[in-house]
Amino acid sequence: MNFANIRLNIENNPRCTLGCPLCKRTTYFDLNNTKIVPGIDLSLKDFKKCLDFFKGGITFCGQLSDPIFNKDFIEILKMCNDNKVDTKVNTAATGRKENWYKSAFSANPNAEWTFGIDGPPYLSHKYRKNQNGEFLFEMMMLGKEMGLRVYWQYIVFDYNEKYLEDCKKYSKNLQIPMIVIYSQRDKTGKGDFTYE
Amino acid sequence: MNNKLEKYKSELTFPDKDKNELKPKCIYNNQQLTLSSMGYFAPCCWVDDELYRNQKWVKTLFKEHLKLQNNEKVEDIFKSKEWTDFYKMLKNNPKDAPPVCYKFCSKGVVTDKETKNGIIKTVIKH
Repeated sequence: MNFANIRLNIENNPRCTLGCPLCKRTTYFDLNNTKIVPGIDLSLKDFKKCLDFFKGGITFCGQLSDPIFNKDFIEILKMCNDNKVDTKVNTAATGRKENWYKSAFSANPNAEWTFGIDGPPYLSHKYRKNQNGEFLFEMMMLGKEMGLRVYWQYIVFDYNEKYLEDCKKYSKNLQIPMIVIYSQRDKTGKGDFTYE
Repeated sequence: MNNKLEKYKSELTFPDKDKNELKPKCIYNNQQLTLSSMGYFAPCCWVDDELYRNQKWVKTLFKEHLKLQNNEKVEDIFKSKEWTDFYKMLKNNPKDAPPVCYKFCSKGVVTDKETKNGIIKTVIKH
């Protein structure tokens, strides 16, 4: 197998501020009776090894964490930009300040960011527990204003289904493409996201 | 199945290998490789999961010497016996593949993507 041309998806740290019920992180906590996911922040030295090898692009999409919490993430984004690596970031957590996003967007203006906001921003926390959806929406808008390619990812649940068409129209007006996800995982009955 | 795992029954239900053909996305569909915060590469995000990490073949990829921190070059990891054997098995002896591979990469298991009026609709069937 030639792995060099395959896209690499990096989990760059073990932290997240959210508690999404269907996330692998929640499963990990549940099965291990813990509130800590093991792991370390990806170091610049180890990231350089990845940059030297992978030529198919890099995605930062945490399976158990959110990429924005890596302590060197802005420098990592800059390294991607300097090396002309196709860069994608998937994020849903909040906890960073606006200035941090400005720095991150400036560090790599060619990166593509996808924001997980499941429903109208004020309701997204129904699934994305602890998320400040309105703030994250503003950061998505900021990214758009700063010239980055940004996407609004919307996972359809019972509580947000009736808002989907309005949100689609809204995203079209904002000229922010929407990614609508219908996942069968929400049929497992583990989560209760019914809009009250 | 203990009480805790009972909750994950649907995730721990696997397709019958005799009735399903394996078509690994990591070989045929440009599936992204993953690097975890533990420093391990995996062929996809599905195998590096608390529920599946201990399955035969999968656990061999999470040995200490395969950690990124323990290698000067990424290629040394992919040249390892563990990684080459894993792909040999997928290509030449797919019936021996771990159940998680059949769960996400049986022929009928697909992720449909459709773009219409600027909206990207994704249906994840798993």
